[in-house]
Amino acid sequence: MASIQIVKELKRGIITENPILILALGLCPSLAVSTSVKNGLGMGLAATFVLALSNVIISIIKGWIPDKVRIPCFIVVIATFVSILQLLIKAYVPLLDEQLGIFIPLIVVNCIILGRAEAFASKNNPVRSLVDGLVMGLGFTVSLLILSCIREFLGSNKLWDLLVVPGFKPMTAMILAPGGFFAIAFVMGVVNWIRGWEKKEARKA
Amino acid sequence: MVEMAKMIVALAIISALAGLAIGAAYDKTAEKISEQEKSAKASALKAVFPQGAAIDTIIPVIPVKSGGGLLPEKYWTAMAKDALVGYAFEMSGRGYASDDIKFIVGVDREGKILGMTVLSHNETPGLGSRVNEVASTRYVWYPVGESGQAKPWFTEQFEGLSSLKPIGINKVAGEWHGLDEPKRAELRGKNEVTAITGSTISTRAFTNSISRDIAGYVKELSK
Amino acid sequence: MTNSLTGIVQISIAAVLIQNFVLARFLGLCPFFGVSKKLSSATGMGMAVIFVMTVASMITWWINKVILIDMGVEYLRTIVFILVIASLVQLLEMVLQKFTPALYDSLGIYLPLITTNCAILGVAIINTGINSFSGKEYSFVESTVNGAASGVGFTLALVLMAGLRERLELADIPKSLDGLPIAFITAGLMALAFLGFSGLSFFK
Repeated sequence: MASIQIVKELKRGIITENPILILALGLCPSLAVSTSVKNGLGMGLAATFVLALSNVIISIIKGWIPDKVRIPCFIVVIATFVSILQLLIKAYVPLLDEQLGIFIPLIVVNCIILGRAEAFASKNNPVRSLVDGLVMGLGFTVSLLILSCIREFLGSNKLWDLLVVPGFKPMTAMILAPGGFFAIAFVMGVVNWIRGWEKKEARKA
Repeated sequence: MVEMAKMIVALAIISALAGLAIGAAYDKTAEKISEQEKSAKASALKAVFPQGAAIDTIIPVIPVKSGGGLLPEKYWTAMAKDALVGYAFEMSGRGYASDDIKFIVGVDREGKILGMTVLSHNETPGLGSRVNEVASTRYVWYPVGESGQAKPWFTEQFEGLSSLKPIGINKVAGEWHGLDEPKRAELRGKNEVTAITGSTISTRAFTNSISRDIAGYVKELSK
Repeated sequence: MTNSLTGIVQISIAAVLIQNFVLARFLGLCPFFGVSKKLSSATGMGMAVIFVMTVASMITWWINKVILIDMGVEYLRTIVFILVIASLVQLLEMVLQKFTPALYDSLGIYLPLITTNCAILGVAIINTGINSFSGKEYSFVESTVNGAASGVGFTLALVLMAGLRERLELADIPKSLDGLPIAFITAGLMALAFLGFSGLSFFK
């Protein structure tokens, strides 16, 4: 029973409601830091941390904040976790801080987090909100990994800093700004194509 | 009015709690962060002097204001058994339309470059950011065995060059990590480095500030 | 005087073309794709962003200098900035509604969207860093100019994009690429074009 629930939640976060590829939220960090798999994973985990914890806190305090100042309160909670995370990263993984730079404080305005706070955590209990935060964060991380694999391979012929194909001359544009747009267009196109095909199959059956 | 007051109180309480939480986190991490920064600098300093040389101490020097202002605000001298091995200078160079590239250069008393380490940069990922790249020789499907050089190739190619003469940039030889030994020796003979493909500006940040400043420093220190 | 003037010109050109917020720095993408379907709404959003960015740059510069740095609480920067921006947007909305209803009618609906536009927080944070042209911290005038010029850069990209997307409506696009994917490809091509500006160099 419980395991079915977990599979269902995971499917929701990674596939049916994937924050980047289906809902198109949180585009700035996903395009900016997906230049290498390491950065993509780091950003994904950082956002998941903030998403899960802020979801829990918001779900706990939702009862006693006046409706009109709801959004500012949510933003304060999110900003708190982002600041704490920023300090932790600086203290324990300074290399990641150097790589992600300005995009760590900008997790505050990542629309996925405020979006989940508003759409889910402000209506559900802490446990369910935690689960929602985790699966949504996982969906975000998985999409970042897909994007960064494509870009790191095509743009520098590497994966996780290791060479891939001997003699392949990488296309540098793929790790520059245009490559980010092309990569996400391609992945979204494939996702749409699969969904269209699934619909057709369903109609046939 | 009551509703207004309620809103303000709620927001104030939440902001206060948030401030306290961040303050506590800051207290816990402040020491660790400054430790990290210090150790990064210390290992960068160590790396600019040759591994073999038995260096006892690296001493920071804050020069007494000399009239010409030729010396940097702070530099380091490396001593081995009371004999001077060389100096290390913290330099910065204008790279590609972002923050300056900061790096440390170690030179001996004749101005020969002993080593170089990049402290911080904000160059384009995949182009200028390769100043720190360690040339990988390992493949993703066989990630064991020879790990290639441990040093970033870009800074390694400066070792042995003279900082007193202008350092040239060779754009035709390809990148240094792909060259064989005779070709490398030829470049060294010409006092030249290879550019990072597509990032001549980042490369120039190093050669320019070395050629501009170090000759003056060495001359001043040898007095 | 001439020195500070060239500094300002450098900052503006860099913010509008070379380091364009949307196409080179990847900031403010959500409104960029969300509001670029029609030219008229793109212009409205662009104007609102320029306005808020300029004012936010001015205010956050003071707060950073006078409060955060002097009191040694720079670690509270993120949370203070986002609160300032959120209240600033709210305040602007009220002021506009009261005094210039006409302007409010055209910009009003875009204002709430701006709080979560990472470009605003982004420029505020960039202004606390080092100005790459002078190698020193941003002065008040410089950060104001940086804010305004970044807003102009955002608007330029947004309006160009909206023009292109209006034309795309008429094109026959493969079904799976319809909608957002083709917009991403268009943005990618624009980013490629803007890469050309990176050759514009003020340095020897």
